Amino acid sequence: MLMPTGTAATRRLRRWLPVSLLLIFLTFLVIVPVGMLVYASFLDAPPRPGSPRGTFTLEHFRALYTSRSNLLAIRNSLLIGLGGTAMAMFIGTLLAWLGTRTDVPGRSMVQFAGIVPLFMSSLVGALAWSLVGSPRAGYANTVLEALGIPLTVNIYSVGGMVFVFGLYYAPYAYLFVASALSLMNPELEEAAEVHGGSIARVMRRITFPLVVPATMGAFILTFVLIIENFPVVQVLGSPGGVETMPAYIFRLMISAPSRPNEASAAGLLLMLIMVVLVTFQARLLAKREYVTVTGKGFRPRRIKLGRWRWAGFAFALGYLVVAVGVPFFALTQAALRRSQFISGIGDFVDLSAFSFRSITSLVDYPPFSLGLRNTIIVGALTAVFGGALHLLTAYTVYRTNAPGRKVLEYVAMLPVTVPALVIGLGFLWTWLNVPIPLYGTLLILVLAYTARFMPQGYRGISSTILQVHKDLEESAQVSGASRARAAVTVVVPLIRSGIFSTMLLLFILSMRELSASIFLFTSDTRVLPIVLYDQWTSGSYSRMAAISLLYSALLCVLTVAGRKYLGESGASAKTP
Amino acid sequence: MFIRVSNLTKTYGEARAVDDLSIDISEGEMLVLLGPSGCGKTTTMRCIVGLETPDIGTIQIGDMTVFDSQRQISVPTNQRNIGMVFQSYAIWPHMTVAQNVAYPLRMRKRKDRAGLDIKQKVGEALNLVGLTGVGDRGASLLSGGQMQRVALARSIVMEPRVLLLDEPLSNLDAKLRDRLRFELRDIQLSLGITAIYVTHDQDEALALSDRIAVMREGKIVQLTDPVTMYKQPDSAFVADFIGTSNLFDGTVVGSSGSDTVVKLDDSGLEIQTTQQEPEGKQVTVCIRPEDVVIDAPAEDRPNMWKSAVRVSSFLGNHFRYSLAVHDGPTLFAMSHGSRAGLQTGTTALVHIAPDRIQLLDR
Repeated sequence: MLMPTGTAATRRLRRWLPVSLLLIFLTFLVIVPVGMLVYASFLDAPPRPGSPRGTFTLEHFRALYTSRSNLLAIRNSLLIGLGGTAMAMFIGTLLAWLGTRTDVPGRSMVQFAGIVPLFMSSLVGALAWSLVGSPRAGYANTVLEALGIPLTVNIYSVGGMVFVFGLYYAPYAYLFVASALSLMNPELEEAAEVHGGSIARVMRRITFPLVVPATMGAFILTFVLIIENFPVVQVLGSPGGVETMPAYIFRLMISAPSRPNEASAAGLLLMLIMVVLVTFQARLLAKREYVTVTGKGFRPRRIKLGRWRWAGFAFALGYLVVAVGVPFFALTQAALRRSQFISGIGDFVDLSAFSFRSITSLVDYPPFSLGLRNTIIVGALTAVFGGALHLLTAYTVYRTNAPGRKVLEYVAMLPVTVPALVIGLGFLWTWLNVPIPLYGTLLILVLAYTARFMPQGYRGISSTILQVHKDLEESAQVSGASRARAAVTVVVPLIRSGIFSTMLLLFILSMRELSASIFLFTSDTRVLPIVLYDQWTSGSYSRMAAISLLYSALLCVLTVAGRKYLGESGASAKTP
Repeated sequence: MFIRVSNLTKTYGEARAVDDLSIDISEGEMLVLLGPSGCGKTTTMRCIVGLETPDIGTIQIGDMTVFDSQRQISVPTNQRNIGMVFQSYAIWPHMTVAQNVAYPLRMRKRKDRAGLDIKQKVGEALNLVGLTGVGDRGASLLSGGQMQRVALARSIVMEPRVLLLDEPLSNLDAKLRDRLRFELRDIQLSLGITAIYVTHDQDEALALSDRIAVMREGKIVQLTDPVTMYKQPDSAFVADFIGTSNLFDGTVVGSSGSDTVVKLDDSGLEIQTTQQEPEGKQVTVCIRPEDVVIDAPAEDRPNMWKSAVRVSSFLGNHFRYSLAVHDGPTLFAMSHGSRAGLQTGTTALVHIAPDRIQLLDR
């Protein structure tokens, strides 16, 4: 039996076709928008139909260099980034150490405290804290005044933003450090103890040096996430006139007359800063694998804290109260009060002042129902579309020998360095010029979100695929299954729950996203975060708080469902 | 010839994993590919099953050409009808034992599957590997030895033309390994199936094979039956790999009667051998541990030396010694029988018959 496999030309086509198609797709999602942004930043007119044809100029970069507000924005970004990261690292590392390596009481509460703020949208966090810490009518100031303490809390400041970022970005530090600590082979520490080290010295000389690369990696990641964050700095920065780079880019776009080319140049600058930092982080993490990761789960050693046990417990509980309890108290107050005016501390518990009107009236508020509908459609489409795209990409990269597959992976990971606002701007410039009427539809949001969350989605699915030993698929082929049949009968059942959990992650991330959509929405395609932002700008605090509560409840339900899936995927995708 | 591999070459970038390799395997034969890691043995096997595409060469199985680089023939893996046991066993954790074993039968074309009693076939295969009655168990709950048996059942249930085994015993503990090695050979012989077995363990290779091919850097350096391989290795590399522990570099310095005299490079000790080699030739002297006679009667004979017993180790049915020859190298020796052996720290007279000493090209 002879099995000729076609002419050389068709074989070459078959080899190149899947990679080429995927590459074209990813190029349109990532490279073209970034390219359009770069292009716009060198033109003197915005690249949109109806505008005069722009000519080449370096003026915007000169303006960035000389503009006082830009330099101030860079300075604020760095200050807030460093301060917020430092605070987040302190909280996250301490919680990680308490939760994995000590006999702190209520360990599961500590571990819960480490991750739970991750599932709260930073927009909701910022809105809630503006209710608490506004210098004029913030609840905290009402309380301080009632207690006769001559202090004013002002959340609309650099310090205020550092505080809010520190609270809501601590989970990233927690995740990195906790995983490094629990993957570390305890024999490394036991060996040091056997050879005469005291517990304190083993911690200082062995444990902490081993997690330094992971900690540094978390530091840079957190810093990058903070300096590209738009919702928090917009909500907490603009009332007090404290501007960071994303807020500056946004102001350039919405000021009249708008300066879109200068905004593009500023976006490019922010992106370059992120490229440098992420490259540095990747180097660090490459080293980390070599040092501590053993691949096996160990039962970690736990240090006896003695009388400090309850101090550790109090720290974790205090963090939960400040990061979750206080904001929800504030949102509940604002949502249920008939009047936002509070005359004294007694008003917080005066039940006669409360009603559910602002929540029940949401039913009759069309922007809310439309926003909710849009959010769910966009989230679901992003999850399905992203899931399929990342599955195809990851399978091509890790399970075929197709040429150019490494380039695919590189492009898929590229958005790590692209600020969300820049993705929004890039999509705007791209789809205003491509003669496909995508602008103004929900689909453009789906594509922008897919690009924005590509690294998370791709990494989620590729790590699931990597957990399935290649032998499992090859032995199916040896047993007589075709390539496609082996994938369907063996690979897909083994990674199914991993794919579901990644899709759910994409859904949740899409539901929270404000930055990538702020330049792309139209009145018909507003999503919930936009609706929420509108309530805040128009001063409808009661409705804002009511929407925030419902929105958070929705995210919470999804997250709980997600954790169930995440747990399952870990169990079923193991290999013998 | 049943399997004929000709001029097989497979490169990864600059590295030649398999380098112009040719080998013929007869029907019903068990051939072992033996060599250190990276010698190309696994790549050769993966080329035969079709999981790797060679750059050059032809592979013929029975009357079917499964690969020919010139005629651009490459039969897909799933149509080659070759059974394979993977090193990691590759038991699908989401299926039961029976589902795992039935898989190759279910993958057959509809017309080939007609009239096939899959359940009965699976039962037979599980019986053959000694796993009667575990078919309903989840595959992820099995022990290592059981997984190995399931993998074997799965690869023979399809009645393959060839059975490939990729270090199938390397993840098992020593006792189980010995037993399964025997069972594996028994099953292969009783089915009369042609098999290729990849390993880096020389004991496994000697115990299982009809013929052994020792590989190095993508080429076969020696191909012969196990006894000849052990008794007459072609080169120091093969002797070393097959487990001869006494290998010394030396130079032929002359002759004594009909014997050749070799002077060892490191210690200067002179050794006589019946093997004829020209004076001045650089050689490797090869002495098998069981050829070292311990506590020889004190008559004057060639290759008789006083030596100190450095380590004496009792292994049940034999002793192993490490003996430091006075003004000479350290020899590893073996003595059978359970009579009292030499004590560590004593002195012994050792002797090696000149016709047992082999000179190998360096």
